[in-house]
Amino acid sequence: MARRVPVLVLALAVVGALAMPAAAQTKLQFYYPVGVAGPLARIIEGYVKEFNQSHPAIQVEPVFSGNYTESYSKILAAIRGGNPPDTAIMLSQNLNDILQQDIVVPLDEYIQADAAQVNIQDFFPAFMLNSQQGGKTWSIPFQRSTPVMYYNKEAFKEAGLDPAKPPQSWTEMISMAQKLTKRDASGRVSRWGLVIPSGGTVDTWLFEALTIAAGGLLYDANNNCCKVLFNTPPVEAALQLLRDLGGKHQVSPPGPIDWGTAPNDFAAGKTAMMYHSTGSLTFVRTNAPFEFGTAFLPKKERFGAPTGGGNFYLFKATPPDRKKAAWEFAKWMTSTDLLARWSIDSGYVAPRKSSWETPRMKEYTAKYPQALTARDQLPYALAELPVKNIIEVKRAIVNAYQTALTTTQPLKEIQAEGQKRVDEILK
Amino acid sequence: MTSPGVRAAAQPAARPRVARRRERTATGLAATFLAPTLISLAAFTYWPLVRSVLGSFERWSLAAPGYAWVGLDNYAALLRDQLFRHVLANTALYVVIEVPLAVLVGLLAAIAVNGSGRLRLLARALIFHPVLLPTVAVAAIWLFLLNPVSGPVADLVSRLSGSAPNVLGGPLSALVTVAVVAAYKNCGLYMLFFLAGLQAIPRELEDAARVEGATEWRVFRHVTWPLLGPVALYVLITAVLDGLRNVDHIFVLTRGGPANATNVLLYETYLKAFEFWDIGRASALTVMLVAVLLAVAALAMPRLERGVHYEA
Amino acid sequence: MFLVVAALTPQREFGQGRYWSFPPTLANFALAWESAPFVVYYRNTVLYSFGLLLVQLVTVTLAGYALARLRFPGRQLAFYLILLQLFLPPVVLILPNFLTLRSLGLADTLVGLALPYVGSAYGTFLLRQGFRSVPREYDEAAMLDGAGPLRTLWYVLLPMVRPHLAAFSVVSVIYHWNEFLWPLVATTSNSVRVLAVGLQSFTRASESGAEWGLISAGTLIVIAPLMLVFLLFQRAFISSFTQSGLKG
Repeated sequence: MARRVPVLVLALAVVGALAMPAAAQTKLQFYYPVGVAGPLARIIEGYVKEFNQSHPAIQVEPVFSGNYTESYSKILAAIRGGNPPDTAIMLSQNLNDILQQDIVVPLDEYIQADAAQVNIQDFFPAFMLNSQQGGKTWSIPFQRSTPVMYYNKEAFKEAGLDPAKPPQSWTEMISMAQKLTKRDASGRVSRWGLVIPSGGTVDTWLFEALTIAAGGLLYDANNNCCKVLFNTPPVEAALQLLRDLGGKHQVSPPGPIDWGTAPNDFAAGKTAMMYHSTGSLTFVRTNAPFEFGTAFLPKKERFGAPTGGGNFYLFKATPPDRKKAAWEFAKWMTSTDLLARWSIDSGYVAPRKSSWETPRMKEYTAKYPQALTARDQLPYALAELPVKNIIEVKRAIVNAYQTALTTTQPLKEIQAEGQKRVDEILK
Repeated sequence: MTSPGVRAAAQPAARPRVARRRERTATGLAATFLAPTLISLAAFTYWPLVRSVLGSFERWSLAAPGYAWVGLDNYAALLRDQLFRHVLANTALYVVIEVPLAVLVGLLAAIAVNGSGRLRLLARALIFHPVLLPTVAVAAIWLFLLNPVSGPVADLVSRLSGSAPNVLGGPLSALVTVAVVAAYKNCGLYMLFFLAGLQAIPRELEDAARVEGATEWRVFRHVTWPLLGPVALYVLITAVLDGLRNVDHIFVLTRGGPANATNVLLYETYLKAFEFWDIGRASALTVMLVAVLLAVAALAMPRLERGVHYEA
Repeated sequence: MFLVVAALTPQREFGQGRYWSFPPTLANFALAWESAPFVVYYRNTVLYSFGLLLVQLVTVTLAGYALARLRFPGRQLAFYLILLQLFLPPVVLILPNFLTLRSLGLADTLVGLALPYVGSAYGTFLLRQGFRSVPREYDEAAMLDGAGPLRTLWYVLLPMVRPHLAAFSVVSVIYHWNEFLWPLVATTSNSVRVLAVGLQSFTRASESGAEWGLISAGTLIVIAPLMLVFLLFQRAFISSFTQSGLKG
């Protein structure tokens, strides 16, 4: 017995020694999705490394977790498995689903405690719309985007249009698109006037943009978890426009056009105007050999666009000390300077007003003024479709507008069916 | 080959005790040999399946946190759902296009590249290489090639016909396209199997037929094909399973669109289980799928096995 | 083929419809290479797909032999039980199997990643067919010579089913080499992640346009070793069939 004691002591000492640094250092897991092609995962890992070096007490492990949907599923699986991440980037749009799952915590007390560094007023109000609910702030904007119009200035000149004057209204947009559509003698199209991508996607984003421009909204703002408004005149106008671009007006290829290939078509000079995410700005800039501009999405009744993208969330299941460390990390990642860097590195819109005042951002926007359009459009922006069961709801809406594009079924009928479907999903 | 039972009866009943003892050891041996497989399947297949069966009677989804026993509601809802019927029809059409196309092209390619020579070797590599690639990469390339605005294939067609088709934009053409892309990706594997089968056929048999003045078609029809039968059967089974199980290209090419035209059973299951988190409905879908496939297998297997007995 | 062209052409040229540029660019490869820790991912993918294959070759051979040759009660039942695996959509297994791994403490390990695939219905089915195609006289002769079932299996039967093992190996390795969704959910640490996950981390473009040059270069990086192995073994693979013939 006496001989065993020293062994035990030794063992305890070893365990203690091993445990010491772990106790001193808080280890965090951070799940992030990637939505833009390129070495974004490496860029995020680079930021995390910087954070770890400047915060020796905290060690963050970045975990690439797929696209937004896969990432959300991985998080739910990890929570069910009893090992949730400590912080993660999830869609701001998912808030109602996330609240229903009861997996995140409101951030207000952290924000108040750190009011000097985290001034919520510094974030563009448009980006806070899907981040706050019930008087509480649930997430901090990080990688945000909004759709804008890209247009080919050289094509404008060629068609006798003023490259400084992109279309302001749907009527202008259609008449310009007609001038910009180029056909050869045999009638073969060598350049299309306008593309609003509507295929190869499960997203309702651009369709929402059209609905907003027509003066409507895809959901009931007073019942934002549970009511989709699909059977309305603005939705009909949006459907009509989509159907007419390839049909009556002949300025777009008939049928849905793939979201992913659209920027390439534009950069190749094959489409003169396109609706797309600001996230594609870097791609277009590096690949278009001509001068291009960005503009507000033209209005029918009003300017406007939905916002999109991902925010930082903290999880309920995280123990308090780790929660605090996770907040430190989220705070650092959403600081003025880092958001400016991230915007330049990725093409996302920096969600803080002060980021735009940093020297590096000023230099960037002086060189590429196209990046300013998205920011300037923000005052007109509205919250993205926020209802629960969001993925299934979006699929139903996509199904409806693609039906409008691929059939001649009366729009009113499509709308009635679509409304019925979403009502069932939200029942 | 005769069935085991027949064989046992045919054996002289000289040493019944030995036979019985052998049977007992055989059972023990079988249990040992099957154990690794069955234990692994029990943990990672049967357990989830049991949960699926139970889950299919519950309401369990993001929409309604918590469980509720709903009996057969999930099944009833599926059968009532127009979209579900649409998906079933898509699946049937998809498999009917993809499987014969991939198998036939695989067979023809195997016949064409059977033999030696650098050119044949190169052709083999060309036809086989998509098999090695991730389906999503193959699909991304096709997405580019077929894109009606700036894709090279569309460009070529428009030069010939005056307008570029938007193949992924039309409901029927999109379904055909995703089937063709899958066939392109899979046919190389089937070619390899057919090739192996062809090379296993003794050349003398075919030569003998030729000497007797048979045409190439008759040689194939009456000599080669019957000998290829077992391989063909095996390829067919693989092809049907591949066709039903691999939907990665649909994610890249159409995401089930336009208007659910390329939404097939497994894609719908994926959506329900992994995107909508509607575990109840996803479970009901899974249970129905497994039941149907199992019934088909139970009906088809004895028949197939009778057709593929050779030697002995 | 097209992949090579796309990978070697700058995206800018490529987008314009010019599919050749001289000199070809390696920029796509450079960008792809630095987008993920490929060296670690190669190691993990090799360990995962080939390590798993080794285990599977043993399990499917034993199970296939038992179903084809041994007489025992419940043989048909066992056969259909195993086939069941083929009919379950892989995606519905992800969540329950992840939870099982968690409770076994094997989540986020290569062993845990491979565990659900140790038993293979496809391989068992293939090997069962293989053994059944071997005339019974062979093993009876060996048994008469005093060889036990294991020796018979090893020395007499195994050489006869080489093509079946080869066919199964091809299908298994390709599947696991390119597998994405299960590894994405089952692993989190870079030290155990695989190539397909790395590839997806820089080719996804739901919020921007697709970059074919990068996708192509990344795919080639991922697939190169596999291509090489198959080019080298193509003849051996096919000749394994010719020696004994693939029979059902």
